[in-house]
Amino acid sequence: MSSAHLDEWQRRSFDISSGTCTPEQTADAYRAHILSIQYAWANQELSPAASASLLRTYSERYAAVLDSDDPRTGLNNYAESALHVARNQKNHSDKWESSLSSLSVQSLPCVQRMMQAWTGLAGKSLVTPADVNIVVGGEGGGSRGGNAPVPSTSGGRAEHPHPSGVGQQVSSGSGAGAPSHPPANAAERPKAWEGIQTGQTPVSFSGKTQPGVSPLFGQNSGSSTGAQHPAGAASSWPHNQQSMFFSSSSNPSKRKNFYGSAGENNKPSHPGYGAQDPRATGRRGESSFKSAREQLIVDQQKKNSHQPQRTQLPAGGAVVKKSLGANRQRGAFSKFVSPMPRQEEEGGAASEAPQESQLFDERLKNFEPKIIELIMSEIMDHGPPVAWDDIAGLDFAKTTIKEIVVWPMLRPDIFTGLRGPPKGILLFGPPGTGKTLIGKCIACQSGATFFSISASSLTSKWVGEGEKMVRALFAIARCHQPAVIFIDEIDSLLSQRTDGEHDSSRRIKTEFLVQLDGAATSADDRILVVGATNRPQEIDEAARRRLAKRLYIPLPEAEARKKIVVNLMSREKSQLAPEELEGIVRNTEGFSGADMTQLCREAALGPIRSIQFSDMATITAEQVRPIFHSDFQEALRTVRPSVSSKDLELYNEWNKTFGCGR
Amino acid sequence: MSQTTLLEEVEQWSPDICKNELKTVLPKLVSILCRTDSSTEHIRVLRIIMDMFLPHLRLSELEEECFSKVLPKVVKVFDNLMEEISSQVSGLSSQNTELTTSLRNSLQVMIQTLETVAMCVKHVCALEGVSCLSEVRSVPSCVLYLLRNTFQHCKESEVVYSGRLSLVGDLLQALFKEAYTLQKGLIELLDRVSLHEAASKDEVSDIVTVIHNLLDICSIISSLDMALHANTWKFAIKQCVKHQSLVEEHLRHSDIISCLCEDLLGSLSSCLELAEQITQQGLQAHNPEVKLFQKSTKMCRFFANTLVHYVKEFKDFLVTSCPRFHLLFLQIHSKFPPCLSAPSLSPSLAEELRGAVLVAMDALLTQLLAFRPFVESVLAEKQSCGVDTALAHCLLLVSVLAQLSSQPEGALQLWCDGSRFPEETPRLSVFDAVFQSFGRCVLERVFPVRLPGVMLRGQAQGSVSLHQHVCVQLCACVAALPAPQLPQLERSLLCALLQPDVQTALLATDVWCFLARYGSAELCLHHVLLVAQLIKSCPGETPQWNHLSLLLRRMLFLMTPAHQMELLERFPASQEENVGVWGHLLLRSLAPEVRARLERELTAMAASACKDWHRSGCMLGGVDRLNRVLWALRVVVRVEAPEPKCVSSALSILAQLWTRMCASQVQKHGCLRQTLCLVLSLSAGLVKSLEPHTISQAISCLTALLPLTALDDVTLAALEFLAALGSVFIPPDIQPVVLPRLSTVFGALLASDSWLLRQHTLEAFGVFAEVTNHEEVISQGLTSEESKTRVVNFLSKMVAGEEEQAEARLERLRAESATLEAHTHALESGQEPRTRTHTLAQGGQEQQEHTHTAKREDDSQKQTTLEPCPKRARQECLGWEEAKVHLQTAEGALKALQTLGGAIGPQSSPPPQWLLTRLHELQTLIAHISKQVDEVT
Repeated sequence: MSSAHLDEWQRRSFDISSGTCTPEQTADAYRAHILSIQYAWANQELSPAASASLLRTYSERYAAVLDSDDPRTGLNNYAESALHVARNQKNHSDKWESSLSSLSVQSLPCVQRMMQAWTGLAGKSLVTPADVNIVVGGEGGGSRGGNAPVPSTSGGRAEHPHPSGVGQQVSSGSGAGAPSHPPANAAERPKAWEGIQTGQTPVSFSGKTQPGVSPLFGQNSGSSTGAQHPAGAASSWPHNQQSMFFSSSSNPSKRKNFYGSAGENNKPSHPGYGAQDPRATGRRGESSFKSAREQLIVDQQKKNSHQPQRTQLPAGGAVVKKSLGANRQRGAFSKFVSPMPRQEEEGGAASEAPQESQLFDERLKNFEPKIIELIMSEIMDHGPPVAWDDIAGLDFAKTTIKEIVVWPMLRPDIFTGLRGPPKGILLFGPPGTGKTLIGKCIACQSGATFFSISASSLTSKWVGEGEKMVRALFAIARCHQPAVIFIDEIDSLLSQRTDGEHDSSRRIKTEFLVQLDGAATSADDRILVVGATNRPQEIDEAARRRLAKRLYIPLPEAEARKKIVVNLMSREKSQLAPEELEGIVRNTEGFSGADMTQLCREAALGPIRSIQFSDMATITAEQVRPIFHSDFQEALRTVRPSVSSKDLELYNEWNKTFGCGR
Repeated sequence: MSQTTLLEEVEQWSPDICKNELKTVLPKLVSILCRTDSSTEHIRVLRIIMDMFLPHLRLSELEEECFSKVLPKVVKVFDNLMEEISSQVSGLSSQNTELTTSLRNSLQVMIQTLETVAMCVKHVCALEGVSCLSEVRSVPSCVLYLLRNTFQHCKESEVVYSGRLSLVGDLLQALFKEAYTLQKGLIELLDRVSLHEAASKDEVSDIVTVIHNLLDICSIISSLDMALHANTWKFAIKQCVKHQSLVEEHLRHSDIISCLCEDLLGSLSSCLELAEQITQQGLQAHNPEVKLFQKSTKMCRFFANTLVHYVKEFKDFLVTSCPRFHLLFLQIHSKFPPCLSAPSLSPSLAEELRGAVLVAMDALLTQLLAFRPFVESVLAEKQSCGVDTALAHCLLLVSVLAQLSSQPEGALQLWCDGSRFPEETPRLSVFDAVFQSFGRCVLERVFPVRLPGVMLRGQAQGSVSLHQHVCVQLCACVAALPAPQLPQLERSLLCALLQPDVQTALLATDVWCFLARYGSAELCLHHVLLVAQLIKSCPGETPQWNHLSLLLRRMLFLMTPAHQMELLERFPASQEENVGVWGHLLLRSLAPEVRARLERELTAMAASACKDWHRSGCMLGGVDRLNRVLWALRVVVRVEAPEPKCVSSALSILAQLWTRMCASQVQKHGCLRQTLCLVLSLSAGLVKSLEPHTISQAISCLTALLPLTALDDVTLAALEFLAALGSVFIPPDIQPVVLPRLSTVFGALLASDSWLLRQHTLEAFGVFAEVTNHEEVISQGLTSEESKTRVVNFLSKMVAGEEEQAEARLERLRAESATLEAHTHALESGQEPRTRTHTLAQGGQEQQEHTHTAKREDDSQKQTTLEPCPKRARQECLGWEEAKVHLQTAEGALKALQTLGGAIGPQSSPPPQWLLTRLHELQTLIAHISKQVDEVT
């Protein structure tokens, strides 16, 4: 019987000591140890005192595994699983109030039972009254206690164990104080030099024994600032969801040090993060809230924390647009320091191939690598950064987009519930008015991953490939949240479904609609689809519904046209008087942004045309004359507006029916 | 006109004549039918009526003119035939042709009767406008009666006809077929019937009777024909639902439910049997068994879904059925893994069954979740469920927990709050219930069972232990716990902490730590203060005290430095009564300033207490106090780098105390044993600073105590010390004394009987051997071959024994978990755990005394104790007559064993190892019993 126990015990303890166990297995093994001990006690193989001591030892070891937040050795209180289970629930912990008080506890039946049951027994001293006066170590005292047989046996025995003479002294001594002196003196002597010797050790350990501070449930970097947050910071998020709770500190004043991090080695528990810590916290200063990027990282780490975090970060960084962050210092967002682009700027880690990164991602494993590669390499935009200022006019559209798209991406914690961002927006208007530019701008300014695709890249002659592409696109976007999927000429993808159309294009549409807002899409996915079209009337009604915000991007007004000309001319040599500029603007009524650009191009050719052909070979760049008003007048003769007034009426009409603008 | 001629004539009539003569002839025919005794004539007349005249009767006349008169007679004749058959059947044999013919005749008539009635039903069914049952009210009752008896007969046929079944088999088959058709017809007819809101009482009771009759039929045909069985049920339930508002108050709901449950369980167990067979024989898909399995699985699914449907419709009437539902959950879940009583099936089959049954069970649970009687049944304080269903109960509660947070407030309260007022049916809080049921799953925890874990990050579910499963769900529940439910949770946690089972207490501690991390820092402080208060007021070192101090130790890590300081101020370490609070913590959980202060205070207190003790003459009476302060001193010393001040102070205390440790007194007095343990532990912590002669003293003291039997706590502490000694260089002057003794101690401990101690010795020896400079100790310590192999095996991480067979292991664990449970019960009721070691002379008395107090306590607070008091009461009134019987049995068994041993002889194989072990165990058992008897007398 007992050999079976021993075997099982040994198997478990060899497993633990081998170091190959997961924390779960270690915890299970310790629990099994504890049960074994309990059984040994129940089976009277062990005295209560010994079993208590063993149980204590193993419970403590178990506790160390359970409470540690180091993912390699600890279980972090099962928080990951538990909070995953409770992910859609509200957190009421701020309202918790204990009902127990030291008085009410005493009246609880379980407490009373404990007290009563043990008073008679454990409260009693182990020493029976008769023995109270026995002198410990002095055998003479024993006889006074009235236990007749004792002194003779113990006296005889006592000589045996003390060879050094000290024992002899004790056994022969009858007084209490006397025998204790010599050894006390003996002990004091070494104490002096030992004190010096050990005096150095505490210095080297002072850093180690200081409890390390680690974040509440692990993942975030800002623990040290977290601990210093003003208490009011937490209240700025009245609807603290679990995900927030995790990464930030909703209980800012609370310390979170654990066995693992507070252990002997003082290294940070998240090596991958360690490098970023000082910078990130430093920049953010005392700001008490968390940018979207941080939230994203937290989310991603949460999702992928089975991977070593060291690999996670560059992987995330590499797939973001290279130039992201170029505009970071401007505007209202300068507070947000995105760890990823920063790292890129300094470390140049962005050169890591995107293919490598996605190999890590569990969620993409069902897709063919070829498709993923296609989307990653071709579809993700790597163009130059665009700022809002680069877009002339369109103030209403810009304001709306900032409100419903950019801010929610930056502060997902505020934009929850009804304030939640729409899943899709539609930009419509005549061609060449800046719809694509707006799409790019959204991506740049929201710090999101930007997927720019044309409808044709999603269609394929192979049956079924198209849907797969759409699915893969969304799956990849989901891995790189927040993400903006920009689809130019969306009408060709989502035109009205008719009976006569080809089956495969119909399936692509269906898949797209499902991905956009369907059972597979969860509410907390932060993916925005931006569609641009100049044929809004052809869009399928189901798609129209899903592209909830429909913004009319009209032809540029006079002010905007002026700005376009000024912008374009600022890079050229030109001599335009203000009134001449006004004239040009007046004469370009009905021109789109693209038309304006075309006009400027045409005008810029004016000086070239004036050059004699014979001089062409020899003239220097400086000798080319500036652009004059006359060039514009000349150009205006050849460049005509590309949008007819009839088209414009159509847009206005559609805007009135379905648009969200004014 | 005589009867015969009339009949002959009528048989020739054309339909027109029949129509014209209807009024005159039908009454005559009916009277003939009623008068006749001959069954052949009866069937003849019946046929004429049904065939020729029925079509001409108007709907309004049918019942009055024909059915009410004819059908009762039909029933009577049918009964007679049955009786006749059963009286004659005993004489049936292939030789007795006459009897065979007559029996076959009777059966034939029965078939024809059914045929005719079926025709009649069909006719009625075809009539336009049958919508009211009262128009044909004799039909259903008659038909159902016939059906019932026919099916009954078919069911019993194997018994009734026994070996002669082949003689009538074809007819019986035809009979069954006919009945089948008839039932189909009736169902069609009833389907057309609809009742108005204002239907009369009679009509309602007719329908109710029909439904109940259908139920009867269901229970009869359950083993005959699956399709029929299912269809009948389907129809019965359909009728219930169709006339819901009218019949709901008259139906025997609890019967229906229990029937459904029985049928569900029946088909489930047949499924399991088949699946086991399939798994064992490795049958392929086209096998009839596999097909049958699939069919039965379908039945399971049907019954489960029907049950859910029925509950949904009639929930308000199912108050009394709630215990049945609870039982059903337990019964069904205990037939599936991970329950240990579940048969082992191939994964695909198990999955199929799971999908069929457990999904519906989940739906049923959702239905019942907010239903008070169900809650009361599940949370009843005294669960009747046995050992087999303990896990099922636990899992049920956990799945309730998982659904709870999405429930409305009312349901949440119902589950969480427990009963608050005396007039309520007493129920536990769900948290209490979870902890209790977890505590009861001893075997499952020892085994241990594995459960599917939470799916994370899209990864496949891993399997997790029961503890983790329960813990995760509890924590998830905590994470979404609304504020009003917190008090109950707190109370449950505390209660779970204060029971003796360690694993359950660990579970509570785990959850509490989660709570502390999830809640505010203030809440954490509040809890810490409470726990500290409890620890302080706890009368002694009990299991409960250990649990509390473990919780405190873990929670200290979660406190802010300011709060830690507050704790220190509330429970100043300079006061001795607070020692318990500080005795368990880890210094590194504290902020530096708190830690420094604590170290200072503890050291000072320990020093002064020791001084006092010495000054007062080192009396045994003061040892308790001494132990307390030593305990606290251990906290300061057992860190990586203790403060030099503390070290020096501790060293001086140690040096004094070692001189006072003498083997004989230690063996005699429990409190000194404790002191020795503490001193050893302290010495282990400070081993590097220990003076050589103190080491030598310690070793000689240990040697004097050898073989340390019955001193296992000292052994453990000694091992800690010995392991630490490895890192010390023993100065040459004491080497000749210390080293041989060291080897002796190791040698003795390595030969220890107790496996646990031996294991710990191996570990300590391993640690010692790894770092020591004195290698001769190692070789000299390994005196016997046995211990040498043990050590070698241990160091090469080899497990000595073979892996146990799964079944044998389960059997062993079953027995052990019973022991464990009994032990926990004993602890819970406050009995002193039976001690093996050095029972003092008064120990027996004390124990007895204690049992008495425990009993009184039980009486006084019946509402709190859960363990069955009656058990003990019965023991008391156990007559000694019964003991005689047991003794006789035991003597007989022992004698048989003896003769067996004699018969084996020397030339046959030697007796197995276990025989001797078991015999020894028997011996100890007998010794124990005699000791008990001795104590009583």
